[in-house]
Amino acid sequence: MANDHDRRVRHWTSVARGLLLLVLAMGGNVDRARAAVPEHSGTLTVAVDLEFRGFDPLKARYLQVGDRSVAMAIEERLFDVDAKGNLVPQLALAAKPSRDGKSWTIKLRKGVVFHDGTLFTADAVVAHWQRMLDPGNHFSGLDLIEPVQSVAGIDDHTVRFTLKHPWAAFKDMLSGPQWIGAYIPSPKAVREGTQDRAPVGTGPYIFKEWLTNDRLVVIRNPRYWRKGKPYLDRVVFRPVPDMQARYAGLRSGESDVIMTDRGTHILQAKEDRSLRVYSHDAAGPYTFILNTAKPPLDDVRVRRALAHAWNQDFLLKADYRGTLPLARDPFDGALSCGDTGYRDYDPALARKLIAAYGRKVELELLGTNTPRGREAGEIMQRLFKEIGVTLKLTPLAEGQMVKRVISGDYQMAGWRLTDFGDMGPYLDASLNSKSKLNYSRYRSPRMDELLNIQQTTIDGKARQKALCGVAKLINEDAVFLYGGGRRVHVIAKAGVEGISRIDHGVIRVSDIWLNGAASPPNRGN
Amino acid sequence: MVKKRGITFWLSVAWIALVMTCAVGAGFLPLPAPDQIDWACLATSPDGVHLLGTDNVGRDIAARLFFGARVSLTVGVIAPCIGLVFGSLLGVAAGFYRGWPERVIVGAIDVFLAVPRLVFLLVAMFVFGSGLPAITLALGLLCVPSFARMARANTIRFAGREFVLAARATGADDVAIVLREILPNALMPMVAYALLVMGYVIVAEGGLGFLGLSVPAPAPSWGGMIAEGREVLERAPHVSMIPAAAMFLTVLSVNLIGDGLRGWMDDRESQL
Amino acid sequence: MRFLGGKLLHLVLVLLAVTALTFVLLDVLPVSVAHEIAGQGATPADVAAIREQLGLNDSVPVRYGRWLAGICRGDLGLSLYSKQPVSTAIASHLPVTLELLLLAQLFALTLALPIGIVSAWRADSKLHRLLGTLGFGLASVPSFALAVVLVYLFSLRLKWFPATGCTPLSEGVRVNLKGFVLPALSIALVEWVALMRVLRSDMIATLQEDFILLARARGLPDRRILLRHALRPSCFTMLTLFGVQTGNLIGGAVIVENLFALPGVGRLLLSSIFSQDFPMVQGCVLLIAVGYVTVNFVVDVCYGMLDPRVRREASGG
Repeated sequence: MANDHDRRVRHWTSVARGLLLLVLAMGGNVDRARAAVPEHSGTLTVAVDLEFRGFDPLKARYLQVGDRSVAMAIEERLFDVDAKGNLVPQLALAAKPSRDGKSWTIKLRKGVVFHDGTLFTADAVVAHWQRMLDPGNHFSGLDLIEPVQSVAGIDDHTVRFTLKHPWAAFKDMLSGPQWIGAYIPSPKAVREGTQDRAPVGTGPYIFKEWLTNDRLVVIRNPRYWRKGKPYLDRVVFRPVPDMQARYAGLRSGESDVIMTDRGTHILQAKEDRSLRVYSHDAAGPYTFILNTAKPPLDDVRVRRALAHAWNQDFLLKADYRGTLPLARDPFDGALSCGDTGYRDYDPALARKLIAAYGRKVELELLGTNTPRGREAGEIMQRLFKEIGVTLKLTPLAEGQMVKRVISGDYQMAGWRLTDFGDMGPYLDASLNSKSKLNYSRYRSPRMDELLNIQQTTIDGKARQKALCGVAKLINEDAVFLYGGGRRVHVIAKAGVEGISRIDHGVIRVSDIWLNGAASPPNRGN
Repeated sequence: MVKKRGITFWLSVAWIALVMTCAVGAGFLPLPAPDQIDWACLATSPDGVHLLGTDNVGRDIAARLFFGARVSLTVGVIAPCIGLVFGSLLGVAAGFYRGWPERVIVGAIDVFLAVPRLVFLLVAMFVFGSGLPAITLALGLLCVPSFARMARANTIRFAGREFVLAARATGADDVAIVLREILPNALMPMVAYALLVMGYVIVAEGGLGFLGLSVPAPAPSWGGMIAEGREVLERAPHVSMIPAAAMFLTVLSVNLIGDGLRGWMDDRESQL
Repeated sequence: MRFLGGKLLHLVLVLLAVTALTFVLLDVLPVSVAHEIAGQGATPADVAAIREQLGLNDSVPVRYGRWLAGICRGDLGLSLYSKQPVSTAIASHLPVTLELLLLAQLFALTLALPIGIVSAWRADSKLHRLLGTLGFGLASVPSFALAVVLVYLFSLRLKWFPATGCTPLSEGVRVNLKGFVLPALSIALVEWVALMRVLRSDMIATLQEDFILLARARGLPDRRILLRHALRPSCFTMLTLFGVQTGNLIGGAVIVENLFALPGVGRLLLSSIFSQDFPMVQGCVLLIAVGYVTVNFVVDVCYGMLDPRVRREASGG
């Protein structure tokens, strides 16, 4: 984040630029020079990495990082979360747990209207949650909300969630920007089956059009309940899969904001005065998931050998140019556990472990068909070769890879843990032997016990201890290899104001305004 | 008038000879393995240790270039040969027999040409597996139609000539006529054409590599190297530009040699 | 008329064969459409129900027939990935591809025509050889490498043209065209060489013919001879090649479309292949094949009209 000095410098440069423009325009628009007051106009173009998946929880199943910004522009959650993790009222006003912690009563905001004209009431919340909970609907995130027993409307603006047991992470399920189920869709659009490709919500922007592979456009919601917001007339989200093209598009002016994870670009942009780099650290690191049910990965010695043969440090240096932190546990500082027994790069030890296993090890790694996926794969291939393990690389489209992992038809795959604010339920779903979302097919009574404790206890200390125990066990049994902490980067033009934070990679377009001086009105988009 | 082949022709021959030597000798030269990572050198410029510098993840560009040449040359030589052999068979058959065989073959070629090349390549790679032999075969099949068209046209041209009629009068059967009279004449221009196709195939393989669809890692390919270097294009242009230059010079040389040979053959034919 | 009828029959047969071929090809691939639609966590019974509902249990010819019938109604099925109608997706990607290929071919012709004519006119001169070498050089650059260099020079350094994307026509013709300049150039700079070469060699041959010598003897100026008399009979082969190139570009600009983030058919095809979205792949293949065959048909017919010899040959043989 920018320090005060930087900000002052930037302020002066923008003033100077404004003056220059003033001179050039021979007394043109004077107020363009003012940067501090948000302007209520303009079009923002945001370039993300992948084509959007869709916005109906049952059909899209999950939100990619780029989808989240779109979801947040159009739809709203019951609560937002602030930087400290506290709930901030959005569609709900307050949430109160019962004394035994097994039910929550939530008061909803009155007078909010969906973009299609239907009133936001308890029915919308109840219908949305019941749809996800209905086992007949096969919602893929069902295991994540497994502790929720039922949802019912008390009156028009009150709902009650009944839980199977006290659940500390419940709040995260109502507010997590990364989770598709947190966003409340219009029941009418869901009923009509249009929500997936033409989402309707209560948010600051109204969905206008989505042209596959080209653009998804949203326009200002004039009836938005939060007065004075949003600032922009229009936001264009564009999927630009080629990372080089995305960065080039920012520099040549077609995009105002881009997401990227390419270290070279991030470092370059930091030196470029016309650009600003924002970053945010979160839990949920990049990993390589191991299928512990598939030989030879069912043998813990092999997995441990791979963990010691792997050199995360070098990957971060070579592939990310040091722009990502090292990950030793799933929490990345969100929860400090001290030493979790991370397995350091130690090829000698790895060779010993492989020798103890005694057979030839041949593996296949599924990776995304992107420079990131390929480079990481090639580095791993070489590192494994040093300990006599052959690694075959199979590049796939992200969706294709996810599908193979889910179906269990894989040995290793590049995998991002989802970046929940509270990682507990997600880890439970990912590692509990009874969970359907346990894609590494890892079975351990000890792990189940730890997960159970953190799921059911609301005592902070005991819960943290259990979660740290989970992190230790992951390293001990080498369930994942870590591929870098989740630090998201967003690069914006200097004239794009109001990007306060980019938690979970969400570009909160409702906070953004354009400083007119930096973006002349006659530009292309 | 016999044109003298200029210096460009011989320079082209020399370049191709050099690339071939490097490709063949890649394993014997004192170079690191193409996937060997030098932990300390990321995208460094050419120096004493790394003759042509290193790429993004610290691999020796010279080594990758030489091993990549194997891919480009294997594909570039074998695929046109596949096209030449099968294309000639089909084309000569169509041109010699005319009638319904011709109609079927011409129709089949039209159908084949209408299928998007990328779809064909990807389906072929799915069927034959990914790897150098599969890519070579797929690209080879892609070359068949143009050779077949050319062979057919040439066959039709020669089938009516005096020497063919004379051979037929002496009682030669179809096979003999095709083998002794038509093929030698029809083949000459096609060999020169094969060199032009070679350039096309090398570029096509480069395109696949650029999309990450060519030979599987750790084998390097020039197209893949160009793609990998794009990220550091402004800071370390050599990572992308060295393989790009190698590919450009190779394709240019092949084209120039093909052009020279064609000129030479035209001269010879006009002298006959 | 017989000439046209024969060509039309050929056109229809080729199209049938292409569609059948792709249908069978994609049928071999081991992807369960029903699983895709049923989604995660579906039971085998759900999948079976969907198979039944979609008629996936029928034989290949039956399904092919149904697919063809659908095409005739303009129904290409639904995308497995985005769930939108395939025809809608294709309709939104096609204009971009068409604009790209028209502009690229326009650039290519703009380069090929004058340079071809000049170098035929001055055959055996230094200029001829220089242009020939330049052509060889450009034809040897892969278009993806050229695109990388063009973006670096004209977008990042000089900032003349955008590096990515296309702006809808509704926001102005100028901005829209600007976005297509670099992608079209990276195609055209490679394609024009073949056109130029063909034109040049045909023109050199034409210039040897009696009627040109006669015109020369009558003292007509060179410019008039070249443009009025020699050009028309020399451009048949070039036109054929032009047709083939145009046909190939409908789905063939995959890399360029990806590099410039243009939402064209090539990109749609590639992303559909990667996400194994088979109805979409089939739709794209159909479109590309129809486009290719139609363009060549048109070229053939034009060729026949321009050059009476072809028409006679075709109806005679």
